[in-house]
Amino acid sequence: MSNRRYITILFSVLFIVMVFSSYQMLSGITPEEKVPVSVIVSDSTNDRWNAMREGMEQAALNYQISLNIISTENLSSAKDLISLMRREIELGAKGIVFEPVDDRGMVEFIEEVGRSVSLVLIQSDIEPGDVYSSVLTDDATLISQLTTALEEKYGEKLMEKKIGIVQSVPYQFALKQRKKLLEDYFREKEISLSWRKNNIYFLSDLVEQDPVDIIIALDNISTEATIDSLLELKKEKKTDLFGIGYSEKAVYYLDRQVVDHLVLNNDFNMGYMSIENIRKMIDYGNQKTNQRIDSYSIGEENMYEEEYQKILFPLVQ
Amino acid sequence: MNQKKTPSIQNKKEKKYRFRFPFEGSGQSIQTTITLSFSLLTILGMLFLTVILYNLFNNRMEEKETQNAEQILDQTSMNLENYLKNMRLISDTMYYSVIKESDLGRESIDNEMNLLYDANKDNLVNIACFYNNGDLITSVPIATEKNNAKVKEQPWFHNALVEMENFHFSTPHVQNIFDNTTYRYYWVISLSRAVELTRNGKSTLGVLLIDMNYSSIEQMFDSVNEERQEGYIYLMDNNGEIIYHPKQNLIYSQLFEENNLYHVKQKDGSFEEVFQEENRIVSVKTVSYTGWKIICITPKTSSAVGVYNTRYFLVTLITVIMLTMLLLNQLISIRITGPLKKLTDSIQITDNGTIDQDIYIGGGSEVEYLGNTLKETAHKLRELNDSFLQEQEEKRKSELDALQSQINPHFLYNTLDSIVWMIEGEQYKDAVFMITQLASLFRISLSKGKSVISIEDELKHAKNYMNIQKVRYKDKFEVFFHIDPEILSGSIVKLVIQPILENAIYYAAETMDGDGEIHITGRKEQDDVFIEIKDNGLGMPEETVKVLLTENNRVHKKGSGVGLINVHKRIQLRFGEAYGLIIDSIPDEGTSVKIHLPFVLYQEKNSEKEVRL
Repeated sequence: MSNRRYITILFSVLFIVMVFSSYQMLSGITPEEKVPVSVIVSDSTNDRWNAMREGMEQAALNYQISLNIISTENLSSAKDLISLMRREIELGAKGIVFEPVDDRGMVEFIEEVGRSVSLVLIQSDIEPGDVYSSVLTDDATLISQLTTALEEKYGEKLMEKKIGIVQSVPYQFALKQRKKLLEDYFREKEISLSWRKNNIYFLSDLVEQDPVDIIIALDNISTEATIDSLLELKKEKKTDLFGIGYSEKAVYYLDRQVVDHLVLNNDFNMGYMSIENIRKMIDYGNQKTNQRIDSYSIGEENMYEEEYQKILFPLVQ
Repeated sequence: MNQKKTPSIQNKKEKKYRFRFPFEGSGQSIQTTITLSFSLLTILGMLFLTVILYNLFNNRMEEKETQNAEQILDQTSMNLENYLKNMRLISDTMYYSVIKESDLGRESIDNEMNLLYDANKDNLVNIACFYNNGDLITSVPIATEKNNAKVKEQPWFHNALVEMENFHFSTPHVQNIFDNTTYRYYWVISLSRAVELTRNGKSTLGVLLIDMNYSSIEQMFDSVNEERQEGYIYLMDNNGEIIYHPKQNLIYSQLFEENNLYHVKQKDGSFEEVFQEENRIVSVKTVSYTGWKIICITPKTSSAVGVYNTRYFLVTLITVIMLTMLLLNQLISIRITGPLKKLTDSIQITDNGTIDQDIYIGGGSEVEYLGNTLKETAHKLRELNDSFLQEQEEKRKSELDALQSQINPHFLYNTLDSIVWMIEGEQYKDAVFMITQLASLFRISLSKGKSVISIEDELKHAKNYMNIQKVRYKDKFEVFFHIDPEILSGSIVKLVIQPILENAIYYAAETMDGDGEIHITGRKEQDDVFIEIKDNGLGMPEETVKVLLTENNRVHKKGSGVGLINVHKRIQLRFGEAYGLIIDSIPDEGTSVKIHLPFVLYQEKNSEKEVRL
């Protein structure tokens, strides 16, 4: 090998090392840029989202996410939700965590944008499932815990009770699923339901006109609406309320024994895992997962136990 | 023999122990050897320096991180102790200044309790006093209990009555015994103690509860954690139960794990641990009185953030230095070896024969001295060479002259003797002929001092000579000339045929008694000329022929005494080793002597020095 080649190779190696180390040094100094992610849920300022928001903020801190929880009122239609999602995508969101309020009309849109923007669905599921990740409530477990609580309280007398079911919106997949599971349970037990209500409008009128022994609320909105109706009608001692959901109001009235039993999801986990998933999707592309979160069945008697108070009161106030 | 071996062994030892540069002796130039050797040494030195610096920096960073963590712990512990001390002070004030001074059966302590609460409401959630049966005496700010409040089942109540002499701090919990009309629930740390109550003059036991707002402690720790880029601090009680942790909710949700049950067993100070595949420095500080422990976790990656950048900074710095050193090495080696290279190149030119070209003089004093010495040596060599060549030429000329001069005395003596003999025998006509031939012979012999003459003249000289000899020998032999006219213009060393003819006469014709024949044949073959003198005399055996042209032949010489070797050497001296005489002889049949010459056209200017191959 010629002399000049020795020197050239040595120079080249050293130069490459210098360029590489300089790049590494400068890239180490540059802080990692946060990824913008939007969160769209119905009535986002409602305190029922507090635990989930807390989880999301914690995950955003851990995973370098710039979190934008969009302020919304009641999102009752897929059209409104799609409009909001389009706006967020145009504003540069790399990922969107959202709760599908109505599964009709969402499919085509999700198929359209799900290929370019990372999507994580929470609370509910819709088809197709291969373009997004989801963090879902385990509806079967929720209903199972709810019916177990009913059986523990009433035993055989459950068959003698008049029961009504209420849900806040008619077309949400999770609510339809819960309702179906519950109806299957009562059909199996040969218990006929007094009424089924698919929205919360004029709920007090229904409760007054067709009083029941037990009202089962399938989501947090319907649970709060039922609490308001019972208090309004002063029927909190006469009608037992078994609700699904979590909010400060629901917990307060559980403590006040207006609500007999609450079945709730670990919303903190749902918030944390949704952001964790969206970061993975943004970083690694097609890494899509469908996760289900734990649920808890809590009555007045055990709500201050150490395990449950951490779930019911996650926020320091 | 031993004496001869000793230097060789010594040389081997010298070679063995002599320092060698890494690239020396592998066919590399001095410049490459210097550049690569010093570059290698520079790189090794720099790498060594980098490792040392990096380790020093790393250790210093870890020490600094540990010191920093311990300082944070000291400060936080002091703040927490002050806070808890303040809470105990509130409890003492409530107990010693209010409860002990009051008969609860006759007077209310609400006002004093309210005043104390108002003064500290930023840090307090509730102050309450209970009889030992769990009945509420009074509480602020919420005056009523919940219907289903189970005070006696509360750990803080139970602990206060079990260990009455102590303060008791609970772990964080949601206070659930007061009838709060809002939706709000407060996380509190309950400070409880047993108190002696006076009710209608009778002494009884009770429990004083101070609910500290957990958010005060949380804020205290949050503010510390927010200032830390990496790592965190957390607080636990003496059983390892976490009181505060920045990822408390994650821990509750089992999304994060902490090594608190191990940490609680550790004494104050710092140590390293590997937890969930993460190297980290753990610093522990125990809070006085409560036995709580504040733990500071510093991931080693936290110092690694600084170290990471420093690592690449060091590599960049060292690489830049290496590149600079390499450039400098290159420049220095060029500076050192440049003059040597120029000197080498100039010597190479000298070797090619252009000795008059300049040898490079320049560079450092050593190279300049070397150049001067070489130049002087080359000059001397050139002079010596010139002198040698001149001497050789002179020697050759003198030898030639000496050889030629050997002819004349013999022949002159014999011829003059013949002429004298003719005159005495009154053969005047023959004597005149002899003298005429002799004059012609000498004229050609002299040839104005030339040693090379034309073949035509040489043959004329030979004829003159043979005419003289025929007279002397009274026609005992015949002479025949068969000469190709083409060769007459060629060059020949003068007087080479005549000695051969002389030998032919003595060794051949003389003995034939009238039947002797001598044939002189001249011809050209390609670029060579062959002149053959052939007789039909006695001839010679092969052994004699072999030694005729050697210096040490002992063949008896007759005639002029000028041997064939004389002629042979003269031809070779003038025309080169490839030419000369070729002798063939067969006993009783005769002898043939061929003169082998190159054909060189005779010109006046070629007559002396120029006719050399």
